[in-house]
Amino acid sequence: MKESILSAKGLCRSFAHNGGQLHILSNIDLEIYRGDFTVIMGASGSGKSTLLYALSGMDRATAGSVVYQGEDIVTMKEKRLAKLRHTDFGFIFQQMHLIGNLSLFENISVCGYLNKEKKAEDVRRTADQLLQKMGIEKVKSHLPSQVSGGEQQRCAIARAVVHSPRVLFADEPTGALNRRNTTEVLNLLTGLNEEGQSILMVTHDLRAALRATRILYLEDGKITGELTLPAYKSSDEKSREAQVNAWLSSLEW
Amino acid sequence: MEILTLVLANIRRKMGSFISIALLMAVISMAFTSILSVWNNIENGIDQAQQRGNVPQMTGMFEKEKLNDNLLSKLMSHDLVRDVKTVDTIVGQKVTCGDIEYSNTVFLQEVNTAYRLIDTRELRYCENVPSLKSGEIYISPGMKTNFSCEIGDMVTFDAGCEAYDFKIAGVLEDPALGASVIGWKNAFISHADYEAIYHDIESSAESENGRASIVTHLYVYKKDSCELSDNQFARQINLDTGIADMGTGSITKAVSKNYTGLFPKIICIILTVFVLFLLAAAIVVLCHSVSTGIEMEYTAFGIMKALGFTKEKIRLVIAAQYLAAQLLGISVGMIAAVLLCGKLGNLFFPITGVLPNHNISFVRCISVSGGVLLILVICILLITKKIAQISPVRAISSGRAEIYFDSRIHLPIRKRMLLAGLAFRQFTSNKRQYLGIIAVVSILVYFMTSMMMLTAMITTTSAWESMGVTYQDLRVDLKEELPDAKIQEIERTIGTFCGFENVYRSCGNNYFSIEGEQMMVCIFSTPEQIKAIIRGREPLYDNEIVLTEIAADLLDLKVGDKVTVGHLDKREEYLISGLNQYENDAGENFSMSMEAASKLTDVSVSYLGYILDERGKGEEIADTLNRKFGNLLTARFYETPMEETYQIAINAMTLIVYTFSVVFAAVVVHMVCSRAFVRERRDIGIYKALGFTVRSLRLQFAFRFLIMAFLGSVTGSVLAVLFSERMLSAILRLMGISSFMAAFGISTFAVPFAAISACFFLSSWIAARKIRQVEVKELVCD
Repeated sequence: MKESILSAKGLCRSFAHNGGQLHILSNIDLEIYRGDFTVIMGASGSGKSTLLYALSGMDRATAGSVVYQGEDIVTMKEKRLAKLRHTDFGFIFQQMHLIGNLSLFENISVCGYLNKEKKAEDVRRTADQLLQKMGIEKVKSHLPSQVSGGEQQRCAIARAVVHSPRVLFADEPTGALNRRNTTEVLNLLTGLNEEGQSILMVTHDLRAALRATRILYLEDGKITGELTLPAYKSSDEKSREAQVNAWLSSLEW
Repeated sequence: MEILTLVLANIRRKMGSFISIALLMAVISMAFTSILSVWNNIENGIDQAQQRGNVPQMTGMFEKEKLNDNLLSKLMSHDLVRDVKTVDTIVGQKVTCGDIEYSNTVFLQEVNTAYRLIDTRELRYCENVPSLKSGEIYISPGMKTNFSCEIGDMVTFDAGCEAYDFKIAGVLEDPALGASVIGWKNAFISHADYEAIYHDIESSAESENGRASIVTHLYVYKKDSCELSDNQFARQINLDTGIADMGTGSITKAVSKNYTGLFPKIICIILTVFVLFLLAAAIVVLCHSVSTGIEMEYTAFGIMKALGFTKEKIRLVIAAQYLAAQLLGISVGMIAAVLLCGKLGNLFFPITGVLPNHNISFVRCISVSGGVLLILVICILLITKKIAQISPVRAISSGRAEIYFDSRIHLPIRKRMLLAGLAFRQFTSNKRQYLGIIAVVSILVYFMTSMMMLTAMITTTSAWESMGVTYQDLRVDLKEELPDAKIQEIERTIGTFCGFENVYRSCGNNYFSIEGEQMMVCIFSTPEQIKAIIRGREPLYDNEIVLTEIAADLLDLKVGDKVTVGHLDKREEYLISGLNQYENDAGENFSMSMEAASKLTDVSVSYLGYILDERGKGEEIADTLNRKFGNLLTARFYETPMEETYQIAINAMTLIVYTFSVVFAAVVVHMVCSRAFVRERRDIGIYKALGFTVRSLRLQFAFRFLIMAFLGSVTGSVLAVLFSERMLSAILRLMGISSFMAAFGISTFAVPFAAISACFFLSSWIAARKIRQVEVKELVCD
């Protein structure tokens, strides 16, 4: 039996548009399980990023609830949400969004420093380990503008996990990367998942989706399909690709 | 049309920046319009009052018997003289009101019908001057200030033979001697009272010892055709007739006007310099705003270029939008000045004794505004030259990307002081953009520190002394010449209360002519008592004098020159042994020893000045001396080293400088903060996504501005140490202090720093409230 770590019930998100309401998410019920690598797929405009932001507390749902450890994120106070972001949640953006005037090492460690329970020394050690793990230890004192897009995204991943979050959210993390960098980033995420990291990722890239243990398909603001997969192994990538392709075809992807 | 459309659109879009610029200009415009108008009104008020009162170009004071017919006929037949009048006055050396004794000369005379009565509550002229009843007196506004008295209070006039009590019936404008800064004062009584006192004095033997006497005022009017200045006229008359040498003192119309307007003039000059500094700061802010505006709208300008706008048109659009803000600000400032001008002008009435006009000098102010606008437009056009470098292709492709460069002054980000560390990083990453703000803080702190030095001067005795300003806690006026043994006894009595230092053993101040010019001479018992020698040395021998730098400049003399000093019918040659500072008569005076002065007149020690180790016992010491030696002396304790009116005025000026600086700083911070906020909106979103709270991000903003306040304060303080003395010396020269010596203390630097830092911290904290509006989801829009 899988342990649910995040639960959404009747989740809705709408925006005011031309005097009316534009419904992006409609009444979504969803469970995110511990240790899963969950991927949300869907066509452009299907609401997958909106769902990710609503689940992670970056945005507030219009209706419904997102329960994390017994607390509803939708009604949570801003201060509590801020704490959640530097203790329990980690976030990777498509555009990396590193702080331009901080070095890569500082970009990673600053997030860890926010956690009052962690010693500065431990944060620095973890940051160094992550830099090594991500293969960017040689450019650790460079500014983001001085490194490649792939290195920036690896730094963004390290930043997102420096405080050992319970859930790692990723919004199209390979969207702005070339093929080589995409593979490197996906390998890193897969590695993290193998170590037990729960990941919720939005993507429309099939290669990225192959790394998932669970794929949710979103269409017009509703979850219309779900596929469960075994843990990723590079050796069975081809058969995995065929399976996912067939499933997506059935959903008219 | 396209330019107008763009200008209006830009103003609408950047309303905050537009309002900030308008506010800065409004502050500056209000300040300079008020200062210019107040000074103009005071000057015109004095001119009009002098004209109404028919003030002569020269007024001389003579002992009645010295002004003989021969001298008068010489004067009347002089080519430059139009008219000569004489008025007898009763002079008394002791005039008291309540507990306050007036230490200088008061001339009692019949009501001058040319002078106007002032309603001191409403600050307006009364319709007419009611005749005085017996026992009533009109006093001048300056005397009211000196006595801190009200209408209805009693004034006692000791004429030597007898003391007379008068009830103050009103305040009469006296454009000749009515200012509080002029020592001599006129008071006016009824014809019957005047005749009675005159008779009493004439029949009293006591009047002969100088306690009170009849003094004739000689009014000399110059011909309209005479092109000499009042001072040159008086000097020429004296050289030709020797009349001033025969008198006990004289004052010209120009000198009277100068003294009357002296204090407001000093205040106005200091504030004008301050406004010039504010203007410099505004130029820096404006240049900073234009420069950062171009960087932030790099893409927009690139697109405009791609659409066919020439660089000249784009520069014109920018200049026009800033010009519109400046014009609005200047207009608002001028309107606000209308309300302020009257109130500010009235503040000086207790000092000048002349009611000022309440007009706004629009023509002058508009001309100055035109000049200011021209300077600002030139600055904008110079800054916008970089528009030429914008390439449409580059602007559209990468114009918005914020590129940070490595800096050597980066400090590592640590868990401890995380927010301060991040704030410092933000500062060092954009230091070029913040240099302008540091420059503004430096300017403001420089002036605030200078004001602190000025106020410190008021309360520091050593500073007073070193600048030749009379300072003493206890003054003992001797009623007659006392032997040394008696003086020692007096000092022993003082010593029973506390330690003391005898700073003055003076023979009083007199008026001698020097190279034909009537000037105050300060006579001291020994040369060592002559303080604040700034060049040469004390006049050690009986043929030497020292001159103030201001007097030396006036008479074109230098150390080593020989001069002729005259008094009555005696003349002696003296050598100038040095230059000193002494504030009497606005610095126009010279000093000599008792030995040197005795060659021209009989002199004796007339007053003693003491600085007490324990000021708290001053009152008690004065009472004891008056009780014990009452028949020989009058002792007085000075509660404040400077007259309260001046202290209030200088404190008010300091308050004005601080208020304007803080308001200015707040507007600047708000403006820069808003721009930084727009520029860093994405970073703020990222920080929020990482878990930073709104409060911590606001603190980070505030810390950054605190760093700027600190750096600017340090720079401003260093500038103040280097240049304030020179600046204040140049201004205070008008007051007779040609070499200002600053008194530094921790508060001199700490107060401006604290004020600016608090203002920066709070303003940026308030301006950063917009951080609340940044939503993390905005990052997705990228």
